[in-house]
Amino acid sequence: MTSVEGYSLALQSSEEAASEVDLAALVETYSALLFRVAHSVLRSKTDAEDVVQDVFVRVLEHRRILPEVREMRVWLTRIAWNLALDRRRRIRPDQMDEAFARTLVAASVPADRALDETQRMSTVLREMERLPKAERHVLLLSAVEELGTAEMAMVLKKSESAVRALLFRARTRLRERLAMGGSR
Amino acid sequence: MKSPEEAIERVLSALRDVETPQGMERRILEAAQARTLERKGSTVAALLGARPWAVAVAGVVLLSLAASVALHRKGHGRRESAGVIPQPALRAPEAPETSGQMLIPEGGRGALRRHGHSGKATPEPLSPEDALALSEMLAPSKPAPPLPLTHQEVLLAEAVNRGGPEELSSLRPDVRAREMELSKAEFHDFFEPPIAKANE
Repeated sequence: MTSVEGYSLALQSSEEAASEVDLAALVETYSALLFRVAHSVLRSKTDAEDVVQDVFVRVLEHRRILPEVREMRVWLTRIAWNLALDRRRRIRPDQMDEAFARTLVAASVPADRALDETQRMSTVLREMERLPKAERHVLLLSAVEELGTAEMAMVLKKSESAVRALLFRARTRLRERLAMGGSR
Repeated sequence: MKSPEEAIERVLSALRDVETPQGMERRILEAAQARTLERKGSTVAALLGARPWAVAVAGVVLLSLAASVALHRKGHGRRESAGVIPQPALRAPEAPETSGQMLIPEGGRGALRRHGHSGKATPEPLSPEDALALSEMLAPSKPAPPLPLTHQEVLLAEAVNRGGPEELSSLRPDVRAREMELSKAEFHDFFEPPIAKANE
């Protein structure tokens, strides 16, 4: 774990006393979760880290309303989620997915089999992107283990039952499409 | 080909188990700190750096606003001084040696006015033109004299007022009193017969 005490002091001394934001503690607690949330959308570590940085910059900008935030975890996740979706619109996601699919294949696998596996993973990622938006979002958020159904519902502003139904439909639809060969 | 369910689970678990890059927290804190400091100093710096003309225009506008407000307050205070007419503190030139040249004090006429109101500063010599202008400027304003009647108005007045006794009496008290006396006598003579005839 990175030592962050010095930054806590430096940031607090440079901010107004009213803010009372221990940014270092927030980073230490939530950065991994936010990174995974952003990475599930972007599939790029560099972009996901940029998103997490943006999240905490937003936190500093809105530090006056922090005492009013009741669900800090959900609030931060929602910010990261929206920033990641916004960033994904601006980049070329296909390239990201190709690179991410290559990382899923073990290096010890022979080259011909590795190519086959990479294409298979790329197909899964491509079919995930072809899902209806609501189903895709629920499926991606479900990949983040720390988030339960209730928190996913709050992030996506849906009911818990709707989240469960969307997740079931997403997995079923994805399975069917992949069974049929994908990219139909 | 393996089952689709397995492929889906493999992708999702890869997304789930992704590890955060080394030193991410420190980089995030450094970035946040840098942006905080940058934001504090960047508002003015960005304006100065990116749009110096905008800063210049804003400065000119602010200065002109401040000047207009100051002048307005000064004039307002002078009007509100309970009818006391400020005497021009600076009299006509008392330094004939320098009257041949225009001597405007440093700071212009605004400075002159300030000196006049403070009462402490020593008046500086003025040229006759400037002294006249200053006295006129500080003189109390009076209502404008009534304008003379136009030709049409004169004709209309003559048509309405024909100079009859009643009109004259309304204008001159002595004539009016005489008219009243005459009218009263006529009334008396008409309604009351002479006493001498009744005795006869």
